[in-house]
Amino acid sequence: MKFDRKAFEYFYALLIIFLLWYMISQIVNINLIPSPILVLENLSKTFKSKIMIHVEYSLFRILMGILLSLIIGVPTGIVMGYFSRIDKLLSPIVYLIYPIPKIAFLPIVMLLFGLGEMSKIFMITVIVVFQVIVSLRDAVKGIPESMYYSIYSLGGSWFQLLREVIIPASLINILTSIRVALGTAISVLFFTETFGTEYGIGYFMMDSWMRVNYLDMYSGIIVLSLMGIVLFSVIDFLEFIFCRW
Amino acid sequence: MVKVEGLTVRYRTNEGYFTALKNINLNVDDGDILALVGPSGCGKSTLLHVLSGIINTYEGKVTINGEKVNTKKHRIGLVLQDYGLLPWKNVYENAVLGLKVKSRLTSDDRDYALFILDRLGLKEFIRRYPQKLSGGQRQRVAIARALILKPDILLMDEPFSALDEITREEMQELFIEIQKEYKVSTIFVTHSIEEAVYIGKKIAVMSKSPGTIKQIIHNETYGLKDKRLCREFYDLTIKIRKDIKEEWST
Repeated sequence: MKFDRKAFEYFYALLIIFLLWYMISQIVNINLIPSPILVLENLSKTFKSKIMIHVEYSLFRILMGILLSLIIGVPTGIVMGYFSRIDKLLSPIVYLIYPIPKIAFLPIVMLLFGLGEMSKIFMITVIVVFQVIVSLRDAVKGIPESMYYSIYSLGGSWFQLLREVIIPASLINILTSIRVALGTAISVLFFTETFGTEYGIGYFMMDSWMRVNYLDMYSGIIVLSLMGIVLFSVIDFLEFIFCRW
Repeated sequence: MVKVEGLTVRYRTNEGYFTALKNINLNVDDGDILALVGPSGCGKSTLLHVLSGIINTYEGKVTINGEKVNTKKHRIGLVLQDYGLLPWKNVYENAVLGLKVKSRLTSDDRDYALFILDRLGLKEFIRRYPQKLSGGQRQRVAIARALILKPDILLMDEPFSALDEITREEMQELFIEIQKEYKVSTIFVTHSIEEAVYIGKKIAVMSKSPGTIKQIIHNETYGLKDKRLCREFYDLTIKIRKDIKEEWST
């Protein structure tokens, strides 16, 4: 029920965007803005043979980047949120590094990790991980003390506190942080895919652009946005499953 | 038996030490209810936090059945004003939380949990989440959770003060019934003199901050039927009110 509605909303959004796009393409009538009908036609023809492989690479990088960020960011954020001493120690460091445009370190990252997958995933991770840390820390800090009391009075261990209270209480924030991270990850991904690779949707778009193949370029843009929708929907679905209450 | 001897609790604040409780002496015999009544901010909750092992730094002796309070060893049932239910667990999961933290759930435990939930009229709600329950229902879940634990001591921190009046009176009655049935030693904290007289077998009256025990009254009206229709109930309430009128208002 809920998801039928969502699907309908997406369909509606797509319809409006395509309609606007179509109108603009008809009015300006230049190669740079082809009609969406031609683009969709091109997409359906070339997706399997040309684009699929790029999607796989890009998805792999995004998922690895987010996974690594969660593996590092969730425990760090929880520990910082629960133990105020550790928070006092780590917060200044996090705040100092967080606003630095990490993309500026790209040359160094490339030197350290090479031109391959490692440097791309590292770049996504190093940007996204701070968002995860900060949102998790604040989520755990926001848990009212009284929620812990019943576990304390039962003589529960820290592990039990973590399992029964902290993680369920911050689960929704973990998902939200992934949502925020996803948007960032996709834009970072695009940037990192413009160098040192021949695979990835970012590469595909840049390459089409240089070859003045606008149909391919727009196909790439559509695919990228579809990837976004799919990933966001997965998170919505996870929220639906795990945060029923 | 619960025994509190010479309990003093100090907090550290920015302006130095703040004494929350001063030289508290109390005891609750097995199966009895002690109602602890005092003005807001007198340290009633602090006392419960000491007894429930949430606060560990204090002076004096606090023992349950002759042993220092130990959350791992003792079974402490805690019922809070805001119910203390976990919103991501349904009624049943909340109710067995205590047992689950203590040890593995056996099938006997599950049966007992369902029995108690049924006794408190919650059988049809066991799959519901707390957000979908009324205040009275939530508080019944909290009480069920404490009872299912088969506690050595039941600590209740203004459990009914968030409820509307009719629900509150129903809950008070239900609680008295249940307490008689299961004979759990209980400390019942409230800011309402009337509630203290209605529920307590003994009534400990506290002073304003720093909290001390002003007097302990043996409640003659304990066990009376339809207490709210008895003169004795109002006489005692008025008597306590008179005693503390000056003390609390200044």
